[in-house]
Amino acid sequence: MKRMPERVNRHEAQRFFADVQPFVTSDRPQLVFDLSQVKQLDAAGVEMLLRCVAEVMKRDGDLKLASPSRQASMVLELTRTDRLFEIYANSTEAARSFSGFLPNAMQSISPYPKRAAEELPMAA
Amino acid sequence: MRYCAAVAAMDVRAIVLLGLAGEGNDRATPVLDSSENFAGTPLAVLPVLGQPVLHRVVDRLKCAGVDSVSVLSAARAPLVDDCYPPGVKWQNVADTQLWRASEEEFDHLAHDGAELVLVVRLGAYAEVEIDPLLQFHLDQRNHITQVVDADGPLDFFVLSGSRRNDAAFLLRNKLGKVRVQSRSFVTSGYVNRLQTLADLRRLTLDSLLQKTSIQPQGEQFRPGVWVGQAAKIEGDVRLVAPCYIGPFTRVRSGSLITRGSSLEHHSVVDCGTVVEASTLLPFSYLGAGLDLVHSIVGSNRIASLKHAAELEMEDKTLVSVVPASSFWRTVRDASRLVSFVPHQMFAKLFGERKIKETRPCPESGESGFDPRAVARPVTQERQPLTPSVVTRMREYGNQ
Repeated sequence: MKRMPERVNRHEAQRFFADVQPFVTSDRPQLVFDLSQVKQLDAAGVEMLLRCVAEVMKRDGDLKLASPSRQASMVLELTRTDRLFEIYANSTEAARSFSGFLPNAMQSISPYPKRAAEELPMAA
Repeated sequence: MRYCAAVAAMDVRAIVLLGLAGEGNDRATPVLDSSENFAGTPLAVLPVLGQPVLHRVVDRLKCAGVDSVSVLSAARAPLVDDCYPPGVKWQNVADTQLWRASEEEFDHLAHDGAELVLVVRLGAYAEVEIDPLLQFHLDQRNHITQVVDADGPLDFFVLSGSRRNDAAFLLRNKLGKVRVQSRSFVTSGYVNRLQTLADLRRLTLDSLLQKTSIQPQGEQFRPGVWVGQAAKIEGDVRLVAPCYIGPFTRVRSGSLITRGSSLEHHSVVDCGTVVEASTLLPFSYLGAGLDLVHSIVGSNRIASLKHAAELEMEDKTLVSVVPASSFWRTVRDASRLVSFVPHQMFAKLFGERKIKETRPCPESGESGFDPRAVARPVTQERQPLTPSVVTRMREYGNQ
């Protein structure tokens, strides 16, 4: 988990990317960026987030965003990048989402009631 | 001079107060310290479908036969040039002096022979029926008549010119108390209290849906779509009714303007941007490929109604201000063109060369296909998971 700085302009974005690059380029990275303190996010910051998520997904990992401030949410929505990330209310939930991938995902999308879903034969 | 049902010519004048907060706040609070402003400008001065609310209120008063309108403004921020309505007496005063100045103005009007004086604080946009209101005031023999609607009292009063003590009491108490209680006039007209930016958006939408008497300043291009003079809208722009495109606005290719959006004069929407249920204030620039939803943009700021937050944008590629002067607009466009042409030439020259280099040579008989490239793992840049990397990751996670 990494907390993003209050102002994410071009200079800060470069610095932040240099900071997280070892983790982004690691094997199957599972990263959470905490945006709770972000007050200013500009196009360079958004570009940096996209670069991070592209690198992470290339390596079969995932990048999730946690507790975005109102200002960060506004910019993410304005630039249409909110739909590219999984966004969680807090960092704990975001971190937990990595561990509970399959069962939770199946529960949420199953059209059957829970008991019926358990009785379904498992695919080979 | 107006004629009322009492078959007498009456001298009716009006004082419009601007720049102090209203019902929900302490009445001495300047608008800038309340929610009734955007980027330092009172909401009543911001344009709604081409004209500020202040203009519309003044026009309504004049249409109803009010002889003169005095505007007392306590707004500290510099107001935009087009906020001064024509044919009114405008007076800037300090916010601490507004009530004193209004009292003096009332005395002045009464001394000049005004029989009835309307005192309106903006504030609320209220389509009060002026003739029935004045008739009610005369019939009830009130000293002061306050207008109320279904949601409560409004800062809209009729004062008899001869009742200076009652007027002084009312104004000294910041429109909060009257000396002699009297029956209020209940209006059935449209009222919007304009206390927040959401109220401003609601007023825009209600006007587009013709729930108010506000008429968009422009020509109805299609049912529900109004376009002002000299607006430039490119061919593949989608305009979904109801919406308003103000004069001298520029909407570039691939944009979508929908769900009651309003682009005020001289605003620019760049290519591929969606504007949904939002307002662009005059001289605003909205960058390319953006998605503006339930927001108000102006003066380098964006206010989101959904998130109830306001953000000053430093990045000029997202939101910026268009120069108010046509000279500086031309200079800006020219400088952009000058920087654009070499960039395109450079991209074209080197872009094509790159394609030529990768083209297979038919004479060599080789297909140019390298099977090792397919077999190459995608994660070439992947670092090996050495103990030092794992240790670093753990350290990082513990931060």
